[in-house]
Amino acid sequence: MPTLNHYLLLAILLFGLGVTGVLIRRNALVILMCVELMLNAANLALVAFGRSGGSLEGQAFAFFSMTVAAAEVAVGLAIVVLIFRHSGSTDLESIRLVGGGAREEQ
Amino acid sequence: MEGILFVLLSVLALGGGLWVLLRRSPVDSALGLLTTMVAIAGHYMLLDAPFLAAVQLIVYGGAVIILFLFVIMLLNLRQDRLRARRLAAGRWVYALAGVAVLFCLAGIFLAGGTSGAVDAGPSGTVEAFGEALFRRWVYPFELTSVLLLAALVGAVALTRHAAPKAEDKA
Amino acid sequence: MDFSGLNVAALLPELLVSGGGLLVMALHAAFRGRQDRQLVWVSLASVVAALAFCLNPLTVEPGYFGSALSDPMAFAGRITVLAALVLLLPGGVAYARSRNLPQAEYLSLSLFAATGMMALASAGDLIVLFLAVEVLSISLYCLAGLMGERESSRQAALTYFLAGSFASGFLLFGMALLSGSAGTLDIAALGTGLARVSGTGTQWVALGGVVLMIAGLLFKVGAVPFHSWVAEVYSGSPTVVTAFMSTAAKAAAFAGFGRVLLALGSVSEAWVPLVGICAGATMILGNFTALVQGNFKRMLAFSSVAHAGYLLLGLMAVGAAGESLEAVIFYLLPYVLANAALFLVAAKVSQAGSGNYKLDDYKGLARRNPWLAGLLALLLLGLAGMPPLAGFMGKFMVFSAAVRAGHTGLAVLGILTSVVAVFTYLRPVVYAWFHEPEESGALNLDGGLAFVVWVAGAGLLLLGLWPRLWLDLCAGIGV
Repeated sequence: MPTLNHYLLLAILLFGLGVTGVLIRRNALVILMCVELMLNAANLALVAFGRSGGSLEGQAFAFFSMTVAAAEVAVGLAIVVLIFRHSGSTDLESIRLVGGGAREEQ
Repeated sequence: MEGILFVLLSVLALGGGLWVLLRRSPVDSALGLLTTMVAIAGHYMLLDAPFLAAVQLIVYGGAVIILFLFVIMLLNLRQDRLRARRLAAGRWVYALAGVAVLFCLAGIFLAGGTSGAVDAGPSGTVEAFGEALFRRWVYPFELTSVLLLAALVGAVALTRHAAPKAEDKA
Repeated sequence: MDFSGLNVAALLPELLVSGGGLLVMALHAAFRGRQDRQLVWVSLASVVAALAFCLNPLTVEPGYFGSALSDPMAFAGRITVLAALVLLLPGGVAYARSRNLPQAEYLSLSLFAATGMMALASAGDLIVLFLAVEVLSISLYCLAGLMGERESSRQAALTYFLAGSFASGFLLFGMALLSGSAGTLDIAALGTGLARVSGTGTQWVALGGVVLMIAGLLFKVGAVPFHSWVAEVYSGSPTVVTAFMSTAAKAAAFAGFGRVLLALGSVSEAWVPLVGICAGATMILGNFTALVQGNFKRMLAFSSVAHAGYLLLGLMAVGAAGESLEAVIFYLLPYVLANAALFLVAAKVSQAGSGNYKLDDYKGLARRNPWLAGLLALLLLGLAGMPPLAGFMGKFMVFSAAVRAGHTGLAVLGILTSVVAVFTYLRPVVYAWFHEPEESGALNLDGGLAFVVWVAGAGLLLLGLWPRLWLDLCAGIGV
């Protein structure tokens, strides 16, 4: 029978995976996926806490954060598409390479 | 029985997460993410939150992953896949930082951890959830509509001006 | 069904502003974009109506079962955000027209972002806090990339998005751990919830949550060591958007941050050292980096990092010693007025000069337009904290609150770095008054910009001479 601790440990492991992924990957799409991992880990922790605390608060929070994640993905992918159309890559380092120096524009 | 399911779903969730991190191709990463999402939906069933499990499958498994795959296909990311290194140069420091975050958090548990069972709360059925959503949490619900509207307007505004100009290519 | 706790009127400012955003889009679609020039009036009308309703006694009761508060912090946050909009929208539309930005999208996204900011300043529970942060962030990501044909704007949008969503992950996970172990989502009740679990193993989970949440919030306000995105995002975004980010968004974020830290006062020994180190590092790094910039926009960007440091110092005093939020509330309004006006002036001067925000553009400005040069000096000295301008009172209140709370070392550091800041802000003033102009010919302001600069200058002077006016107005609202 799993306890709250088990669920929290799973959530922390998933969160750690997400953080590590954001830091080490270079592809903007994969970084976005790793952010989704982080948000999912948080949702799992919220639901587990809510279940153990005896209220639906945790579930309500998780529900709203799913909406946020969906909106974030929509905007994030729009930005990635915008970048890709100009630089032909979703790789952060090659985007920066294409960008080069002058960032000071009007 | 529940214990076995928990272990199985956790292995699936973590395996999917590792797959996202370690695979070179974004398509593989997206499929790994899908595995994690489905496994977490299973966890929600175990936690007696059937409505949330359904939403998880529809929103993440349905909308989010499909959107990712759609964009990957749209952009035709093959050149990216062929790049030699998949990790950023010198990112091992960051990998260590990420692992350090993980260990710090896990250390919290070694220091104590919570003492709770997970069968105390009310069941998250559609009725119970709807009651909570449209009474106590009606303000966040309204705020969500602004959020989605802003995301909609913003995503369209960002991608509407399609064709890059000539000087951008140079 | 029981509606007694609902009190829809508490949300009227937010409803009016978001309704204005919706109306702008609807009119844009209905007239197929032919009447876009009139849309700014629709937006301004909704903002002014919201301002009027903030002062309405109907809104002083908390609404939506305690999710929407109406305390002095909420009132001050809302007024500050709306004041920034009143200053920025007319100038922003002129900027959008001259640089081919989509006006309707600019206006409606700004109004949606402002809805999120006002909701953040008045958030009563963690769900609303998180959603409000996301509403404002998502709108700002899109606004940053609105000049999509420019490389700098695209890059700013991507950087801002990646940094912001990473921070959101930390914020949400921290909130999950904290609210779960405290057993409540109500921000004001977090302290008592934490007191209940102190001494048990759960306490450590809660502290982990506090640290993660503060890290997420520090990221969002751009404090050191989470400031790496600031320079690129602020200098790459369209200038009116940068102005919006560094004024209204920052004010709202600090209002939400203050609310959280106020509730966590009972565990202050856990986070005060953390926030203290960040505040000190932010003051030093922000001021010294601003000092060496040869670019006015980047200088303002780093100076806003420095101001985040002073605001953090004010927040530390609040959480630790039971000081009220008065110092932070007061600091925000003049900062927002001066910064908003300065960014618009920067856009104008740069357009008339080199086109890329060089400080050299300000050489001899006094010859070309003495009024503008005078007001520029007034605004910059206001930011630097010269008496009798409002910036001085803001800094004075923050530093004295810090001393009362026992952070004397940090207060001294704040005063020393403020001296550095004076040199930063004096450089454009010296250029404007004591250098020969590189270009001749008068630099005339259009009506909108002149209005903004005069209002901001008058506001700085008024708030500096009679600070109690604004503080008493805030204190008189709500409970």
